Amino acid sequence: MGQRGALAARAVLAVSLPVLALLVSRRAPEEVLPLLAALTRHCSPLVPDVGVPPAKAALSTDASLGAPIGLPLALWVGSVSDLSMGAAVDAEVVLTRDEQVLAEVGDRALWVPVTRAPAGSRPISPFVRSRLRAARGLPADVVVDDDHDELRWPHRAAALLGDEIDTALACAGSVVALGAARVLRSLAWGTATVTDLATATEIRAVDGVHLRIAHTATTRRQLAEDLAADDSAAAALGWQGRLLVEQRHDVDRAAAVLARRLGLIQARIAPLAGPLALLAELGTPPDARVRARMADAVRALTSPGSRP
Amino acid sequence: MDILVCGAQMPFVRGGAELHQENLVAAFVAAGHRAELVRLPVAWEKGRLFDAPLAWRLLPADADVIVATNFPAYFIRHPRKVVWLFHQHRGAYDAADAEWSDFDLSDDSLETQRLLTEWDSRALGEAVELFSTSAVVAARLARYNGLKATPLYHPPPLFERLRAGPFGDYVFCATRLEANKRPELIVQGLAQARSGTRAVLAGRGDRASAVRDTVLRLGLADRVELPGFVPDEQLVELFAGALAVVYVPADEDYGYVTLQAFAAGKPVITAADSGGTLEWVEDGVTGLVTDGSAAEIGKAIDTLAADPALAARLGEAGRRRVAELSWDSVVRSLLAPFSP
Repeated sequence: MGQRGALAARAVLAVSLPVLALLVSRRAPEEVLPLLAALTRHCSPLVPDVGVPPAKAALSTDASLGAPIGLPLALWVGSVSDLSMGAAVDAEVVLTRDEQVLAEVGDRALWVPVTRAPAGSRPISPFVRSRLRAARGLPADVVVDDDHDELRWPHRAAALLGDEIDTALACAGSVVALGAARVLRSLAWGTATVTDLATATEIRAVDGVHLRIAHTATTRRQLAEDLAADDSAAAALGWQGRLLVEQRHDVDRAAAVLARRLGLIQARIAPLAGPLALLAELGTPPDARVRARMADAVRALTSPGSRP
Repeated sequence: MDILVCGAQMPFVRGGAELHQENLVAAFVAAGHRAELVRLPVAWEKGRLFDAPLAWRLLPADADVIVATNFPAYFIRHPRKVVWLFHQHRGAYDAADAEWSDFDLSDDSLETQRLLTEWDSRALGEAVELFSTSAVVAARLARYNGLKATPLYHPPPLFERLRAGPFGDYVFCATRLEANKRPELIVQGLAQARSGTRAVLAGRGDRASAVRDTVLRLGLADRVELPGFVPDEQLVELFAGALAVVYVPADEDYGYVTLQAFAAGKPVITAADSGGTLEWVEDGVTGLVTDGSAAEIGKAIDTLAADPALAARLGEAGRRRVAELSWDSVVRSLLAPFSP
């Protein structure tokens, strides 16, 4: 065995995740790099070579490279002109950041985000927010300003820091925010959000669907106050805003979706993998009681020490 | 098509939801489809709240179309899932502050409500089409989950058999004697009426003895009849011979009693906070809407007792209002997304 063979053998031992064959003609497009990094939680993206274990699926960044025979393929498509190529027709998943491609391809398309959702963010509906405020003795309808350098709670001089920011976004009736990062943070918590046109355009948010847009500080404030007093409108915006973050701005989620669509979810060999994946899809936190109850339900059915 | 109608089961309990699901299956079969009802037990308390949703999530659903009807049946996964929502887990939403709800403002309750809202929004959001039994249910979905549903109305049980009759000397109500139906309020309203009108309150439930006590306490034993369960034939007769129907539930989802009253050409006296009932009862047009106080209910009873022609006019308007309801149109609406 030569040096190359020995390295390959070590690679086999090291690889415990399924292999994703990477088909890259030159450099992978920059937009795909965060996705490739996120995919390493689910698989080992490797360029096919001697000694590299057989791949379970393939990801190609160039339609002209063709489709590998017998492997589910995810293909990066930069523009609609690439859709006519054979690989694009055969691909299980079409990866893109082009709205036209998305519309053309339908269910096979997967948007490739380049950012992560804020860690620990969970959607909270207006109804639960109102109960959170009641439990903590906070005012009934709170509008939080996140349109300066710091996030401020009404009638409090000091800016909020660390966990206080998450708490504020969880309890607020609505938020006025400017700037992509701040708006995405607000939307990730399912908060009814008001912003300006430039920010909404940058994050591809639609007025009246994901958030509200106003052009002056006064009108933004007024819209936010109206939303804080209208549970139905706030709930619709909050939920759609959260989905926008998940579908367009969370590369970790996109990687999980892609791995599932390509059949790469390693845990599927474990007996509870299916239910665990379902819980994840529903947004269930790691410490949710239902996870413990599910484990209890099957504990007596599995050997001690076996994987959940 | 092969259609599975999915619904929750409360073992040993049979009420409007079960009847509704069975009628839906029958309507699909009558329209030439193969249809069956799938039901799984549900637990409502916080500690076990997510067990049944997860069970539904894992069920193999081998059918052409799924029609899910209530919590947690709509957690079933299927690419051709239609939801016709009777109700969610009301104890976690609109009835969270009710005496019977086990939700409070503790962190555990709040996180359970948060997670349930998220799960509900995702599972209901998967549906190809989202219908509700009434505008009240649709409004709750909008408020609590930010989802839009289309109200889809259906005929009540006995719809074809109910008929108009003479306007007698009693007001009638057939309902479960439960707290949310407020049967004592009907008795209290009758006590305020000066016309000497009688009342017949048919049905069983947890409040039966409380209703009986109220009747005795208010000295109405000779004016209020509590026959308990009433077979269908007798029910048709009782509707036909009534002066009016009094139905004053608290925030009802839909309310078969109202529709049955209208099918029998009877006006309905209701309350301003009775929810779905108000989608049908229009004050002075198909019935009388009171402020929900015993005094106003009593006054409404007196108004109709003094003017049977008015009762007949309102009842006839109600009859016309429900005349178009049919299971055929329900079946067509539910399957419209899959029609060629």
